[in-house]
Amino acid sequence: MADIPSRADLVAGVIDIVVRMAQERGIEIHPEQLSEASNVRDFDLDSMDQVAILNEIEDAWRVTVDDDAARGGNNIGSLVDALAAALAAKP
Amino acid sequence: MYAITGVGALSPLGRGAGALFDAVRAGRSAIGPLPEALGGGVGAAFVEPPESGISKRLTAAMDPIARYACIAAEEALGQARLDAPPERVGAVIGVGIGGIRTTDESYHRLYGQDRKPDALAIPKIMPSAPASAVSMALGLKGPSFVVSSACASSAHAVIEAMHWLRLGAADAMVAGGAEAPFAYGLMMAWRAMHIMAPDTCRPFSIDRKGMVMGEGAACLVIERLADAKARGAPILALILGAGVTADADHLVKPNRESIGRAMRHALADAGLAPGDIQYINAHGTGTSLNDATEAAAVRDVFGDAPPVVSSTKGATGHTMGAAGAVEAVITVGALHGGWIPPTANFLGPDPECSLDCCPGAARTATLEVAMSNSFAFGGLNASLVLGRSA
Repeated sequence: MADIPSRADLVAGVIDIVVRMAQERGIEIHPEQLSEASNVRDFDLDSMDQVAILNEIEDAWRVTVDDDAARGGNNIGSLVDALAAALAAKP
Repeated sequence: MYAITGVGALSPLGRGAGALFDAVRAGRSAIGPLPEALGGGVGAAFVEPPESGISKRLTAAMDPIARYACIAAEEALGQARLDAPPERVGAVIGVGIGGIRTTDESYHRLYGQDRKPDALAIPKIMPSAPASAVSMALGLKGPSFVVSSACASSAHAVIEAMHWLRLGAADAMVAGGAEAPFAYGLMMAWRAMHIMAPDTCRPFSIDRKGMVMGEGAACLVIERLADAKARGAPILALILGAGVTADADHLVKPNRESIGRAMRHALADAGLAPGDIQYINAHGTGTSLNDATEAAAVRDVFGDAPPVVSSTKGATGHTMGAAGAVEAVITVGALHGGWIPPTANFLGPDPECSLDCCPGAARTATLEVAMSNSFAFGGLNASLVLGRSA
């Protein structure tokens, strides 16, 4: 099993991606506005944006996130949970 | 009869139809060296990617081809100042290749870097994306879709738009085309055909060496003439007729009889005789075979004293799915402004293309009726007859 980064690192990494994807869509979010409890829908990011965020997460950590685990993942914490599970399953 | 009440254009010659007219009229060419990332060679490409006034939210989900279409459509609609409800305005956009830059980037990520493709690759790549983008960005809720017939796509789009007006399903249509072909894989594919010029595009000229790729978009707003007059719209030009044919022959070799038939059909649809046409904006790609075949077909239709025939691809490059609309917009500019577009980069007459190509510089002329030709790989042809607004 590959080394899994700390949860704090995963949260920070996911927040960076959310901020970047939001900015590409003209939505200004600053990292300090986000935490594990943040719901990305509260920042005007829609389901299509969530898919793009999930894809970037998969690309950044070179994993495939289980669709069922990611479904309904509107908050940062659930995205990190799905990411951590994918990392744990990574050979 | 149909009225053109707005035009928009985006090309490496400049932003806006006015910039396109000025550059073409001055005999300028947008063709220049391409970066090594595209494999070198020459093309008519944007130096800086054009920004649109459309929200970042929408453009984040667009391939450049869709963004280009939106920019041209927005300009055309701005000029037309329609008062029709959005449900009565549609958009038909011609696309030759489609979202190839997204395709290329996604394949590069996947095959070259073992990374995930762009999550929005599919909605960016789908051929219909530019029509969807125009609809979403500009709020058009009438009949909207893409037509694709390679290099004749946007000429077919203009004709298709007229059909929806004729049916009464819309009061105004945005018709045009877009192309954003500068992706490494596509450029390599074009070069594999050995029809790309290494220097520049010289339509109908001696020593022409082939075609040169271009990018951009153009759109026209089309209305029924009576409607345009009734609302006091500024009428830039008229669409008098159109002709469409298929060669049923060869995948890439133009067919003299079939393209001549398209021109004859357009004349018949307009109720005009060959002698009524004063100017033809030719398909004129700059390849040896296309130009010679088109010149022969023009002589078949127009006899030994054909009108002035120029190709503006020496200025714009071959914008593929956008070409028919770009050239229709240039023809509208010529009819409206009283000038004949020149053929850029012309070195001298080729006996195989015995035509007056208006080489080098525009001529001042009061044009009443002109034709715009678009012929495609696969033998799909379209000719438009446009008239000056009284």
